[in-house]
Amino acid sequence: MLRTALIMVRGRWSGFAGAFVALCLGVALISMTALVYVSAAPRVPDRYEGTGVLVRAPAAEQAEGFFLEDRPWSPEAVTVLTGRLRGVPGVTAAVADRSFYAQAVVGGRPVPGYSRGHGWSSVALAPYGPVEGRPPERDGEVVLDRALGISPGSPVTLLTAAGPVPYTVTGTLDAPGFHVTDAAAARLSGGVRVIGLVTAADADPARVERMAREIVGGEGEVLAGDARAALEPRSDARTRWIGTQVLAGMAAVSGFVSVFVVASTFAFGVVQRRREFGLLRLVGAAPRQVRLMVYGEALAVGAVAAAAGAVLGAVLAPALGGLLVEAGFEPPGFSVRAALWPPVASFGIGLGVALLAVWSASRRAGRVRPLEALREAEVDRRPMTPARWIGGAVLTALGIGLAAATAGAAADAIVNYCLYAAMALILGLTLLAPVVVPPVVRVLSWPLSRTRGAAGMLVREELLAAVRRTAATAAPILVTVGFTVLVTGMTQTTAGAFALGRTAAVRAEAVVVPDGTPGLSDAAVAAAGGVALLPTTVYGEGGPPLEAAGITPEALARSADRLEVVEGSPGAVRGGDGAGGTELGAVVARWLADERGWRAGGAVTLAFEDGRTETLVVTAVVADAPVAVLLPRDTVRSHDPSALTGEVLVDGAVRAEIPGGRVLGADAYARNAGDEEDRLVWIFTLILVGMAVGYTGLAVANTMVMATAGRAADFRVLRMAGATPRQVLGAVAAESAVVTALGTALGVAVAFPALLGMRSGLSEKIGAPVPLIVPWPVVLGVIGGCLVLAVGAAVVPALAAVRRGR
Amino acid sequence: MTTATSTTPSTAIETVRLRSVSKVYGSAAGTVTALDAMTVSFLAGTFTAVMGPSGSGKSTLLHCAAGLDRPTGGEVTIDGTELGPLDETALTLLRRERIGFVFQSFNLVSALTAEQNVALPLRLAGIRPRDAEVRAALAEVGLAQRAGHRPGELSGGERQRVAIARALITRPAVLFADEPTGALDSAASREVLRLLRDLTDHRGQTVIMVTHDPVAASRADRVLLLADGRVVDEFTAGAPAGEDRSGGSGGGPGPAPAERGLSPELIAARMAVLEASC
Ligand SMILES: Nc1ncnc2c1ncn2[C@@H]1O[C@H](COP(=O)(O)OP(=O)(O)OP(=O)(O)O)[C@@H](O)[C@H]1O
Ligand SMILES: [Mg+2]
Repeated sequence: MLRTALIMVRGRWSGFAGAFVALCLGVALISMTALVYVSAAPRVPDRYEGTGVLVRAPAAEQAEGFFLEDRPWSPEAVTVLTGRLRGVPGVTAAVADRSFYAQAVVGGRPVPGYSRGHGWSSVALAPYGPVEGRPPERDGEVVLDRALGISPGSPVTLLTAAGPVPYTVTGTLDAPGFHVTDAAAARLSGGVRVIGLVTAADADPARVERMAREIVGGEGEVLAGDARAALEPRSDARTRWIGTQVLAGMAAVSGFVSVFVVASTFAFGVVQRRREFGLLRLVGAAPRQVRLMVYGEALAVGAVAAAAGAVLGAVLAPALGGLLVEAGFEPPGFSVRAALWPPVASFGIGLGVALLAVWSASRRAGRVRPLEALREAEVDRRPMTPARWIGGAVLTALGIGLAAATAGAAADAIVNYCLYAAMALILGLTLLAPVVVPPVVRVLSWPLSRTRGAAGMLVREELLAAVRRTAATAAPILVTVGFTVLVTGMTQTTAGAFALGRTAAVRAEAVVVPDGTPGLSDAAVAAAGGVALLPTTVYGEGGPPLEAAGITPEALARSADRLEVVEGSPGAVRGGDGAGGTELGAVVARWLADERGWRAGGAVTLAFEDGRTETLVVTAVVADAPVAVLLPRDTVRSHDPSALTGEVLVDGAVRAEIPGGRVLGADAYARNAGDEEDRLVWIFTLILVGMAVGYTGLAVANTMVMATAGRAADFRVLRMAGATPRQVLGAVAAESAVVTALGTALGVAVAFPALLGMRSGLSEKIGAPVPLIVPWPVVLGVIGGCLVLAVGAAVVPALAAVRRGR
Repeated sequence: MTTATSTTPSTAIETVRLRSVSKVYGSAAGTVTALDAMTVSFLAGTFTAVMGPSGSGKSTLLHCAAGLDRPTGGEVTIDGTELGPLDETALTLLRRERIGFVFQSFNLVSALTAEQNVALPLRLAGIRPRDAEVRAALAEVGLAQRAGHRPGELSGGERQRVAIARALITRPAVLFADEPTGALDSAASREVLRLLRDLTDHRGQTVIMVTHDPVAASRADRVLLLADGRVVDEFTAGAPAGEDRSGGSGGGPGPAPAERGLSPELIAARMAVLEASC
């Protein structure tokens, strides 16, 4: 039977081409993403490559998607630890590694790229080449990256968290980063989380590691060799995590779409080959044998396609890695490593997908009765089965439910919710197609029935008689249009809504956002003169790090009426030094207060970015705090000298020049121009839509070619009945156009209820009407593409058939 | 020369037997009785032609007799096995082993070569076809040279002969043919008919053939005339086939129809009467 299947595949290669290409591309994508995924392991940062043993502060478990810095040691603990570690035989220095924000300003603009400064002694931990010039010796001196093109002796302006500061370049290194004296670094940075051990050339690293472990005990973690990769910057870890989300989304979409395309291709093939299966049954094939044969064909096509895809994926993986780095989904320096199992596993997945996809088609093939070999094209008598009804209804309901849930989802989960909602709705509607298609076709083809010629009537009746075929050809268009409208509409609407929510919350007229910098300095905030949060991280006793932000009393007073206070009064947050008798206050989010049992009026002890602890009074518990803990801005700044402000909301015009920032009107801000996170989400969306559309485009062409090829006999009859070739082609083109319209109508029908549901959810959440944003140029482009593809894919083979018929 | 009912000699083996078989098609437009309690037998080693006006139930008779369709009443026995109790798979196995088919068209799998088409029933039975056996089957129908060609590259008559070779590869107890010459010109028809006749003469193959063509029917040993799902007339060649032939042209392969006692003119006349009466 398998042999027969093989012969069949060889004999009708064109019928399997669509399934082959879809599967090959799907497997290539999976193989590619898997390779990138396994390569995306953390790396030892270059800065620590020069030292074998490092100690870091204890790391706390964090929730999925959170990448906050761990609690640093207190300054006293650092002194004690470095002192004792220096005593280990073979250790020449124990370097307290410090980092702070710094960025060179050249020609009035901040230079993008690596924007961290360090103490000079940290250079000893790196394998950098020699310094050209000399190390920094006093305040105001810096050694920086040679690539900046600033020679030793020249002045340079560095942007720090405080604002622009003049420095003198004393030397250059062939490495990124800004190196100042250790004393200056201590003032500019918060606490210390890493101590690097510089060892003598003849020291035994294993012994140093062992002794360091004894000294450190529970106060830290000793890392050596590959374990040093745990020191990867949290921002890189976050980038990698986003990358993983992107890859997972891509894998999910390509898996879904390839199963869909392959399944529909096989299903369609079975519908078209009823006569052949009937004939096989006639000459003695049992239903099981027909099923096995269909499986055999899938296996044959699947094996070749999956193997080709696995290889293709491995070849293309480095290119994908490069693209991801460029788009900001993987940290710089990321590269794809060769590994065997991802291509092998994707080959297996590909075979599995093929067999899964052919499951229902094979059952249908097995049910073909021998007499069907003798009948003319059969009219589908029972297009809807109970299983179809149930499956279609359940999936449609699930899709609508997921779309509604999107409104309540966290920002980074929205894309995935969109995807699942789209998938469920598409599957549901595809299953229900035999019921949904005829009335829609009747409406859409109404203009055709008004025409005088035979073609109009013919097209209409063809589409209505062969409901299954019509549904099958419209399905890929449904998927394409539905997917595009839903996913692009959802991301744009949500992004718009969130921005609107943020703007509406403070009734700002303008927003100052970073421009070429990771955040705004104090000088920029002062120049903007509005409401701003200064984000930082604080640490309670035990538990994961907490997001916190500093806010000025005036700003808090202005937004007080917006906070939903559970108990206490947020106005009571007062600044102060905590020592002069003035009490420090904190506004705490309800979830945190509930979790830790904190009450308004009670005292809490928090550790800060510099490792020092402070006891504060909880002035209020609020239900909708933007972060876990709101603190006086001065307090945050005094403990976290390197913190940067994300954005400043301003009432009225901003006159002053803002270093490293730019002003957006409320509208522009709401449209989210330039917001990094939204940009990433949008790129991600376009990638997904692009992929899905590429795939379904393939399916559109494939089903059209198959459908047209299967109707060569009809065309001959038409020609014999006196139709000119032009009339035949016209009928074919009109039919594809109606099918495209059908798919588009259904696709829009899938997407709009979901989008409207999401909009009402968002409006409720934000408390203001949210506009529904659908990027029509993208959607219209996709529909136009489908139309061209569908008509082309139908007319070209029809042309060949008509020519042959002459 | 004709008898109103068939008087079956008790010694002969009934390869195919139908006992009061009915087939009623029901649809929204009403019910159609295609077979009306038909009782008829086909003896081993005979060549029977089934004729009748369009819609008289010829194809339905063939389908029910061959286990392709289930009758709504009555019982069908093939080679001693009653079909009624068999499930789909058992029925398939029976068809595969005991029954061969040839139809007017749509007989061959277009993706397979002539040789592969002929070997298909064996493969389906899980038997590895021997090349020689397949070649011999093709040679028997005069197509030894066309083994590697696909149906698209063969003429209608050649396709039909490949279909016959395939139908016979499993040595079936009975061969059913529904208008096998319906789509062929007279030369190709003659060739196919000669083949069928030879099968009965030389191999003792039981053949049941539906046809509209009196000339084709005249090659048979027995002609059944159907109308409205009933056998309305039946006539056999005057003498048993073997005797008739030996008394004829002295062992020549195909005796002329006229010599067999079933003349095309007679059959055509009977048909005309039948068609006029309904
Ligand atoms: N699947 C079906 N559904 C409903 N009615 C059917 C079906 N198949 C056949 N019939 C009807 O049963 C009757 C007998 O049909 P059958 O095909 O046996 O005729 P036939 O003698 O072979 O005719 P022809 O010489 O035209 O091939 C006809 O009236 C036909 O309309
Ligand atoms: Mg018939």
